[in-house]
Amino acid sequence: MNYDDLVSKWKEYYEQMPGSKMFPELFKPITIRKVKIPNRIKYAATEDNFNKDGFVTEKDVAYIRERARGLVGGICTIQGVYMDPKGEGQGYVGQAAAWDDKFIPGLKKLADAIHEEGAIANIQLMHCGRVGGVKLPYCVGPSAVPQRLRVLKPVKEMTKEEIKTCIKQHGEAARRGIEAGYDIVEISGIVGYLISNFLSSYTNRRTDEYGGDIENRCRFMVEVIEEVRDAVGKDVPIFIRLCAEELLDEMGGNTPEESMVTYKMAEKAGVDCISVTQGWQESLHSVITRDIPQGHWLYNAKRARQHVKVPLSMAYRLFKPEMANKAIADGIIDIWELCRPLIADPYLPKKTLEGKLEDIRYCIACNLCLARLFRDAPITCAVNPLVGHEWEDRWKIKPAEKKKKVMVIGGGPAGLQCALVAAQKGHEVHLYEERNILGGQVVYASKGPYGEDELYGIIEWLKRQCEKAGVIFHMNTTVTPEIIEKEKPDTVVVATGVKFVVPKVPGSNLPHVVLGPDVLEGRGESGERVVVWGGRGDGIIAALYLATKGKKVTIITKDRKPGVDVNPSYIWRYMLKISQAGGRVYRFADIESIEEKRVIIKAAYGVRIPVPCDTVVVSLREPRNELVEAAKKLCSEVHVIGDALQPRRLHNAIHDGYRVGLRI
Amino acid sequence: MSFDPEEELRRLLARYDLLCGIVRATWYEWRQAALEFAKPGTNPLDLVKRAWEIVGHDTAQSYFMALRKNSPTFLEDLANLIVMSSRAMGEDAVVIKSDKPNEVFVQWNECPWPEFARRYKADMEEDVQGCDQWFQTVVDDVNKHFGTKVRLETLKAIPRGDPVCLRRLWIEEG
Repeated sequence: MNYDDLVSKWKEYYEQMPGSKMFPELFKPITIRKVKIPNRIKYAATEDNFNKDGFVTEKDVAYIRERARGLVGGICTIQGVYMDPKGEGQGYVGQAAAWDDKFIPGLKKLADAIHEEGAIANIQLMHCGRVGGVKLPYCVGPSAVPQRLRVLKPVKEMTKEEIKTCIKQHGEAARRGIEAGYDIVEISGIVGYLISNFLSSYTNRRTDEYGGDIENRCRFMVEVIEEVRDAVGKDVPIFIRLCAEELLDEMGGNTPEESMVTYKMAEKAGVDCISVTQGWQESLHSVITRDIPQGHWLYNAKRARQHVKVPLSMAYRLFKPEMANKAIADGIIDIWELCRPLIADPYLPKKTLEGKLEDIRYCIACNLCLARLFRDAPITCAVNPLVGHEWEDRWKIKPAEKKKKVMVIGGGPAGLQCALVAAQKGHEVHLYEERNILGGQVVYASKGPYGEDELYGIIEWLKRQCEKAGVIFHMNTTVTPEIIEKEKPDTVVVATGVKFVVPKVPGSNLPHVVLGPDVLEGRGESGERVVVWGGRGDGIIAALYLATKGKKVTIITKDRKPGVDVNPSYIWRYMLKISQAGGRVYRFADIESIEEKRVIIKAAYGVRIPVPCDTVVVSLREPRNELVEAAKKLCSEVHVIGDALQPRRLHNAIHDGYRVGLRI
Repeated sequence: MSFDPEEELRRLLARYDLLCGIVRATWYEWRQAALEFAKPGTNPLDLVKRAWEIVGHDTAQSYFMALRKNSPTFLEDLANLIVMSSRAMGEDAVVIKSDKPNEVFVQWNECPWPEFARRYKADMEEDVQGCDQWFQTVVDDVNKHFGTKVRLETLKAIPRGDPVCLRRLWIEEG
């Protein structure tokens, strides 16, 4: 590849774009070894579970092409590939492989797609170590330290011979990457994958030359880097991702100082750029969830800067271009990495360059992508319904053959997304919302106390895009059959969401029985001891909200656990916070009767328990679909979407809206 | 002496819940040990079915005292006993009456066993067929004891991906 031509082509384009003036640091080239990179933006490696038996699929190629296109000349990293035929290093069922030359054609397709879009291709080598062996009854690591997470496999200690083989496999995989056309080779050494297992005092208890003090624990990493260098030659940049802070204090992990030793050793071994990360999958601390403020982890990059001279990159809660531009200007990082934000909006860098910041659909850090990965499913995205469907023509928005008048009833995420797609297809779309605020359940969900306001971003984005697409909003308007009759729409979309219902039990009409939304919006007072009736997502948010106000909260749920519908990345933290505030949960339980100062619950095993309480907050929902039958009588095309069909989660609502929008 | 009745009950419930979890875990741990000592080629499913058959005989014996052959609700009483056993193990089960005489259904809305099967990497089919074996043994022993003709059929199973487990019990005519 002629990097000079590539950089000058993009430079010319950047100069015409407002974003290059607004964010000059992001659109400056950088040269690493012989590779000249037109800008400072990098798509970080993302497992997607799109591939089969290690072979790259067309689905993955289309997914990566879309990200490469949006990068406007940046670095596009493909998912980490595993490198051994047994699959000990395979951590994800749909992970791509590079353990044989037979995988080169597939890897080349990805590299070619990236190059065709004018971006720089980066292949990541990833042996998943104690997160590996996804199709095996075991995984491997430096020592057989038992897993903290049940989902992970028992660890088998690697022999020295196995270590040497594994190092060679890194070199062979790197060589295959270069043959496939990649410009950069990256080594993953983070979150619990093999290199990090060797580096960490938590998982490396060896007494040979690969264990012991931090220098010895670095030996495996150093030998991998040297092997990869031998394989790729002196011109190809080698990147590595390394933990600056493991956040494993409770398990006896490395100190932050020891982590900096790993950085220095990596630099000395010949890496050309370090991606600064923090946390392990086994860590007890939040790293990428909404309770972590944007830019929070930059302090680790600052620390790294004091210890190494090679360029640094960083992802992890760094979503905003202005923040990344400043971090580069301040000399904290050199390259801005993005993973989840480019799942949510692959065109984030392009929109930044074009100065269209209001069009960026920001990731809401819901971690649906991760939750699906860990359940061996292909990734999807709550806010970007197209993820995984980039290769399917039927998922693309195309002009409608016949323009229709579409009435969307309800301004929650389902209604907004549906209205947007329908309007983008060219229909005349009227969206009716009975309140003076859009967002439906997201309005309440975003009242949570730990960064949940970030959730409302998707509603603001949908509203802006709807306005641009010409959707006509009718706020403070309750739709009746008479309105439908008068407006005569060709299509009605019922997206009226849910209603909160109080089951009829003795005492359920008492004045201290209130609805969750009333409490969250400040319309209902609550006493000191609060029973939250219903343990799904909305009940959890109400409980969190009340717990942070110092209330003693008891959640009553019929489910086997609270928050069965809440993302696993979040629910354990939420429950920890509720429990730390003195909160309790009764599973397999329901309220039998409500009295003035207590409720009687029927708990698991049929046991009745009196629970003292001053207020009962009801968080039980039913679909609100009264208009459906009337609409069907008045209109030949009626769709019911989102919670109005079945109360579910945000991503279900948005995906319903998108799919039905396409169908109209 | 003052005490918090909710707290006392809650603590008892929590301990009982933990105990039920230990019982389920122990089941799979014994299964693993038995398989390690079993003859080469032993099918885990055969081992599991045999174990549940032994459990079934024991369960049936505990039901004999609670059932009355001449009761007009004999079948429903048996179904209720099954529900009671299931609830005692942390399952959420109910008896559903049928429109037809001599027929009832037992529906399990929640069951913690598949979660443990998954955790211990046991085949889900073991979970279904293990339960079937247990109930079938109970029904067979009840029939032998009372001279009845109760029949059992599994219609849905959570471990097979159904939303509930559903079993039909009926008395064969003639």
